[in-house]
Amino acid sequence: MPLADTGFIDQDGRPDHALLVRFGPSIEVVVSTLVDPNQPQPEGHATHALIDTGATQSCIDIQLAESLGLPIVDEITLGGAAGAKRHDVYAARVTIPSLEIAQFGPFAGVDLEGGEQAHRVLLGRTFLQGTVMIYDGLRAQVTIASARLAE
Amino acid sequence: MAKTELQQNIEAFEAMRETLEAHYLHKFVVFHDGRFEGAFDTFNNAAREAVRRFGRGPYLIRQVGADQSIPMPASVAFRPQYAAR
Repeated sequence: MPLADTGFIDQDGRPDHALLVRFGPSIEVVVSTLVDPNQPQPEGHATHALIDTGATQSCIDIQLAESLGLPIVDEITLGGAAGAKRHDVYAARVTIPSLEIAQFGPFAGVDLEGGEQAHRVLLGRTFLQGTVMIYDGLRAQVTIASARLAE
Repeated sequence: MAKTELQQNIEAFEAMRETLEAHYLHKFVVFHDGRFEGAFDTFNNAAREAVRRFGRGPYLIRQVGADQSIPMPASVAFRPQYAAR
């Protein structure tokens, strides 16, 4: 079973609790547009995604989605303190090399960069089916294991 | 324009909603050119089939019975400047 340790340690090899609190559980992903799996796959964009267990829906920064040419496959309404607003839903191919996951997923387009978010991709609970995550605040480590879902 | 065609597919979905909920509840369905094209167990499978048959679209991929209105993730609603207040 593929397993990834994604926590934070400082230069002396000690747990860096402040960084884990600031950035949250993060993991490197490669986001690319939809291409027939039988065809050569585009290189994609490597970035760190926030593993957001509080989110139903995975999200992607609108500018990143547009730059990658992700297709819009639906709309969704996201409600917040400022009211409800319609958002485009993009389809993306997301690869998580450390977990050997490669799958298509829906991502609500939101302005993460404009919101000064550290991440350009949020992985919500829909994407985390088939994974096990251990949040170890004492060691400032997050361990993620996945049943292999690769194509 | 892709957006207009997406709306056409959403309208087709809404027109078939009762039938879809009766036969394909929780499945991921694909609509293209205003027509129902298939139902799949996962978004991954629906997207694979959609891209294989229709390339980059436009098409609708939607889970039957899923809420189309959900709370904004707190991590998105939060702004770092709030922490300074």
